[in-house]
Amino acid sequence: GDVELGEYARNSGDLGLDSFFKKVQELDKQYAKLDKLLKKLQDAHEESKAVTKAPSMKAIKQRMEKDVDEVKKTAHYLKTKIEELDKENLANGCGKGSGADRSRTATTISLKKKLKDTEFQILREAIHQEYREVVERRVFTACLLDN
Amino acid sequence: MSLSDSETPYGGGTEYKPFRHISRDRLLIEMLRSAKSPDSKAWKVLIMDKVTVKVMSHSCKMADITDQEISLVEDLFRRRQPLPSLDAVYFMQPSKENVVMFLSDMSGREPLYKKAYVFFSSPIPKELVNHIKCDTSVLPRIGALREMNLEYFPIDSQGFITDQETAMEELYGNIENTRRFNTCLNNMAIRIATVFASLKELPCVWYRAAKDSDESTATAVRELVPTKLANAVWDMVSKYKSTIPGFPQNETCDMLIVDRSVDQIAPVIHEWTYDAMCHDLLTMDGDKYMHEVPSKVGGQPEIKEVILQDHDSVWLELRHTHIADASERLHEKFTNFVSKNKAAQIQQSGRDGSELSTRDLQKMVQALPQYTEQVEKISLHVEIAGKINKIIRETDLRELGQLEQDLVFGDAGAKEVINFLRTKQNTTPEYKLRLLMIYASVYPEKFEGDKASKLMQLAKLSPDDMKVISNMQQLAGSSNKKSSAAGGFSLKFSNQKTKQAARKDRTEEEETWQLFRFYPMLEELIENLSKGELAKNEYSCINEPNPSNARGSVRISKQTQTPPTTAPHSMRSRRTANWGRARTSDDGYSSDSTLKNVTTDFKRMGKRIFVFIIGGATRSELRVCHKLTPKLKREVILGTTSMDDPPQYLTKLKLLFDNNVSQLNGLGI
Repeated sequence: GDVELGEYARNSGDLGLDSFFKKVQELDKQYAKLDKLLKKLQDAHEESKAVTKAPSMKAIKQRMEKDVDEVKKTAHYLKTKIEELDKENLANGCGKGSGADRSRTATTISLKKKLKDTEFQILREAIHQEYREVVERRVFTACLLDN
Repeated sequence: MSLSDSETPYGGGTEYKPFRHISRDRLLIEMLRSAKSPDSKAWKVLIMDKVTVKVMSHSCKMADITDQEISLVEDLFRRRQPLPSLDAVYFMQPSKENVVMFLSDMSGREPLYKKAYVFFSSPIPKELVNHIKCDTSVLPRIGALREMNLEYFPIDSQGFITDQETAMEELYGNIENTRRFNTCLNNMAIRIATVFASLKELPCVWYRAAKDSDESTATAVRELVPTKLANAVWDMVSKYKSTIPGFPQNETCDMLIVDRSVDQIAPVIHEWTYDAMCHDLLTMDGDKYMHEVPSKVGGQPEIKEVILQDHDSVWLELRHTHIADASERLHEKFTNFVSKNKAAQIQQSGRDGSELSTRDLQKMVQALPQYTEQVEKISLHVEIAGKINKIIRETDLRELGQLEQDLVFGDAGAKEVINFLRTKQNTTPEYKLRLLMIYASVYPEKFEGDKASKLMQLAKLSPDDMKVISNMQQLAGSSNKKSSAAGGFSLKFSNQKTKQAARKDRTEEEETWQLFRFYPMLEELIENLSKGELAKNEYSCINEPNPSNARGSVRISKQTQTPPTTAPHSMRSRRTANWGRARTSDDGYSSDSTLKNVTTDFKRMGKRIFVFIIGGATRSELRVCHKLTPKLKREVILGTTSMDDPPQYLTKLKLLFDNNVSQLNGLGI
């Protein structure tokens, strides 16, 4: 057992890859968190369509604002970490075209693609938020004119 | 571990899935996702040989594979870096060389990978299994040892190939080489059989029967190819009954095996659908088209590789329509899109200046890849359609097309052909050759000896081109005899000139567009198969269905009077569907709303029909399978050795027999 482990440890390229995948696993957890938050936002959005009372709407809005902030924070964290992986990939000792190098590259590209898809959803939620605020302002203006 | 375990996670047959989906899901879910153990690390290595890498690439994209936590794809026969902390998935053919390579990877004190999950693409010989089991250092490192039984190449949602470009030559050309013949036929049967293993379907195997009883003649050997293939396929699928859990014990679908002799016209006549025109007139490599894009920087135009396949929703909508119809629809689509874009712009300017952030956000939305992608897609097809129409005009293809169709339907003969050849001397040799091939198919007795030579001279075609036609005639074989016999028969009873036609007009079809009369023989054959009306003297069945089966089949496959029309999906609804999706992936299958609708339709389907054409199939034949699916309410799947465009088919015919001269002399006698 120990001897075998020793042999594994000697392969420096593979050892680097091992720590690489540990980091990737951590990022996958953050993605899962992000997905959950976006789902919550979507549900809240649907809920807000059916609400007519001001206090309820206010509560939903506050909840959504909090979640949007959390989403932005998580997305930014992910972006930073992926950039770090990119730099690390360039600096790693593996030869270009080697198994370990291609493995790193393919995985990092996969993570980037996921992030890009997620960014679109974040933008969509932000637009929804903005639209609601515009509507609120117009309703308020109309009330003033009536008086 | 159990051999031949290709159990599907979702219950057998409860959910009807389109053909292509099943292939993809089996590879991604059944194989890649299942390769996991409790202590397994997330990311894995995938190792394939040159055949299985092709199987994989025909069904999945690299992004799909990465999504299944494959971070590295390797070639089995290349020197590979050891990654002992990662698991490996082997997907390979069950050959001795492959097994030896696998064992050298995983045996000894220092294996390349931590654990190996092995999937064979087709049934593995027992001695090779024993060979693996004998290696005591490898056994503990094997996480799975299974027959995947997936060794075919989907090229369409309802089509697959066995990737045997030289099949016609090996089975019909150099007959003396028995080893090549048997290898080719066996591989074909294996790959066809894996289709049934994947779909968990047991077919009634129909095939084109041989006429000539004397097995020593070359013609007889060729005629027997469908028979031999049918027997081989049946042998293999029969074994699945006991080796694959959940495989049906009774017949669940129909299969028809034919060769190119059933229809010599379809491979050479001009087919006027958008799909066929793209492949015939443009220089395409498979489904790849080199698109010239004006450079954004304003320099030289860039060459961009585009793939015309199902994931392109515009292509999916237009490909089986007449080129004129496609052009009209594209124009309408483009006009609508532009006007919608303007509406969006008007909406922007309508807002007061204080709403900066909203306007900015909307501009961002419009600039997003999704919008850009739509524009690019429409522009691409507008450009392609324009190029095709230009070629049609330049080569005066309409007149030739009309003559081709008239010949086929018996409205034209020698006089018209001779007149065309005289007046259209500038027509490209390829088109003249194709015209004469159609003529020789419809009037075989008028294309012999002197008559043939004179026509070839008039067309200014070379003896090399003559080879193509004589090879075609040999391939037709006894069809010639039958035709002349029929001629003789009619002469006895009637002095009237008989109208000779290779096709009958079908009155049920609305002919909106010119040059759309032609249909491949396959259409008639499939309809007859569905009705249980295949000609008994021409087609046989290995496992004749019993009366109750036949009754069920007839009931299920009743023809509807008016085939359901699928309306084109509007741009608006497609965007809405995409917009509401949780995540937009680049995988066309799961996110395309068009395919969702197709999937829904499949739930009402009856038994599947498989047609396999030995020696290559045409775009028109694939179109017919799509056309008949809603009409018969049965999914019709086309299999073949390769999809051939007319120029490719001509080349294959030319190279078919190398002892051409003596054969030609034989015909003279």
